[in-house]
Amino acid sequence: VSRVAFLVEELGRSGGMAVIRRHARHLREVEDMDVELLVCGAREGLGEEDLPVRRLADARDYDVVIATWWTTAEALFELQARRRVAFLQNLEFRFYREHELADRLGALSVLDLPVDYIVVASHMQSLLAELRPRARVVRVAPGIDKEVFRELPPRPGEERLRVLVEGQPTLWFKAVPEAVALARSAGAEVTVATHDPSVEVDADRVVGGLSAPEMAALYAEHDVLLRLARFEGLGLPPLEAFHVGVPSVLTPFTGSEDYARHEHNALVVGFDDDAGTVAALERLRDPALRARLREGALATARGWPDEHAAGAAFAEALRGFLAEDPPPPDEALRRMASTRRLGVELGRPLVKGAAHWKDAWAEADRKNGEYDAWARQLQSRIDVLQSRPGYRMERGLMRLLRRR
Amino acid sequence: VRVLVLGDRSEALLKLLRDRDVDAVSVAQPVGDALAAADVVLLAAEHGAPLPNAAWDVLAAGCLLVAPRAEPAYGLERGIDHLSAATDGELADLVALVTKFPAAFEPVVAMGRLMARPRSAAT
Repeated sequence: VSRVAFLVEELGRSGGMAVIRRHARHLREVEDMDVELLVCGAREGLGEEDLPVRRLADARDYDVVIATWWTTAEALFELQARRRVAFLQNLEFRFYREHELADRLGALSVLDLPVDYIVVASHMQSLLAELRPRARVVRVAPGIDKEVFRELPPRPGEERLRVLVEGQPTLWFKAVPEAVALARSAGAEVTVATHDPSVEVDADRVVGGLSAPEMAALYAEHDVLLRLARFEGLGLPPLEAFHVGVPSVLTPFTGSEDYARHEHNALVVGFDDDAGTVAALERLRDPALRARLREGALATARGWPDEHAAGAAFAEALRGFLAEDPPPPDEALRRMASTRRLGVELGRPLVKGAAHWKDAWAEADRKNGEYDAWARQLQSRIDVLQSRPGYRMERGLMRLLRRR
Repeated sequence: VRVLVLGDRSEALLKLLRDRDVDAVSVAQPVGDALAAADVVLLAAEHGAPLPNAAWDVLAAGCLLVAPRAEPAYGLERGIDHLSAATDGELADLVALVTKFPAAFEPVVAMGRLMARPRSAAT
C-alpha cells in the first residue's frame, strides 16, 4: 500500500481544495492507498474532514508527498519521501500583481524544484516543457461529477437574456464587475454566483455558498455563462455549464483552450473588447444560435472525463513516478539559480530607491543643520544689536512717545 | 543577446541603449526576418496607449517583449508575459538588464509565447 500525503496550506472550501479532496478520496477508496492531508499552516484549524488529517509537525514518512500550493512546497523537503510531486492547479505566480514581487517570485520558484509535476491543463504542460524539458509532467484534467452536472432542458427563449457570472468579485483576475457591467450593457438579466454573496456587485441577483446540485440547477436557469477572466488554471465553471447544456461567452484565458471552441460551444471574445463582448451577448438572443452552441457544449461535455476517470489518471501518474528514478536535480538547480538572479535584479531598483531616499534624508539633515547654525548665528547678532546702548535708548524713547 | 527596437520612436531609444552599452538595430514594422533574428524586442510605442498589434508578432516569434506601459494591454500582464516601464530610460534599463542575465527572463519569454497562441490560432 502506497502512503501518500497531500500538503495543504489550510482546509478551506475553495474549488482547488475540492479537487484535492476528490483525488485524495479516490486514491483512498478506489486505489486502496493510505492517504492523508497534511496541514502546513501552523495556525490553521483541522476541522471536520472525511479524510485523515495531520499537522506537518506530526507527519510520518511517505512514498509520495504532494505539494498543492507554492507555500507548501518547501515542506516537500522536510519530509521523508520516495517521490516528491507538485500538483499545479494554476500558474500561481500569476495571482500576484507587479508590486507583489516577493510572492510572485516565491510562486514562480515552484517550477524550479527537483520534483515530478501533475498539472490540470495543457498550457501548464507547455510552459514546463519549455522551462523544464527534462521534468516529468503529467496532465490530469479535473473530472466532472456527471451525476450532478447533467443535461437539463433549456430555458424558454422568449424572455430577456439571462446571464450567469461566476467568481469572487474581489479577485482581480476573475473580472466579475467588468462582466456584470457588460452583461447589463447588453440588456441582460444578470446573476452572480460567488463564494461570498455579501460582496457588493451591481447584479440583479447574487447567490453564494451553493452545493454542486444547486450550482447545476443555477446553470440551467440561465442562457449563457459569461466569464471574462484574465487567466485561469483550467476554469471549471464553463465545463460544468457545458454538461448542463449552457454555452459560454468567454475570453481566451489559459485553460479554456482545452475545451472552448469558438462558434461551436462558446463565443470567444477578446480581452478588453467591451464592444465585442456586448455584441456576442446580443447575438445570443437568437434561439437558433443558442441551440447550436448548446449542442456543441453537450458534445464537449460527453468527451470530458468524469471524476472516476480523473482519479484513476491521478493514481496512474503517482504509480508512474514511483516506477521510475527520482528526477535529477541539475536542471532544477539551473532554473533555481536563474530565478534567484531574477529576484536579485528586479529587487535592485528597490535598493536603488532606498539608497535614493537615504541620500535625500542625509542631504535634508545636512541642510537642516546648516539652517540651524545660520539661525543661531542670526539670533546671536540680534542679541548683540539689542544689547547696544543706542538700541536701549531708542526703545526708551519709543515708550515715552507712546505715553504722550 | 540580439536586441531589436521596433516602431516609429526607435531613434531616441537606440540612443538610450547605446548610453547603456547595449547594441541594437531598429525597424519600423515587424518583419518576420527581423523578429526571427532577435532575442529581445523593445517596442518603440507611446506610453499609455493601447498595446499595438505588433506586440503579438513579437511574442509569437518567441522574443522577449519590452514595451511601454499600455492601456489596455489586451490580456497581457506586466512582468508575467512581457516587461514594461513608465519611462524610456527605465525601458532601456530593463533591456540592459535582460542582455546581462537572459536566462533569468526565460519564464517571461515562455509565458509570452503562451499568451500569443490563441491569437495566432485565430488568425
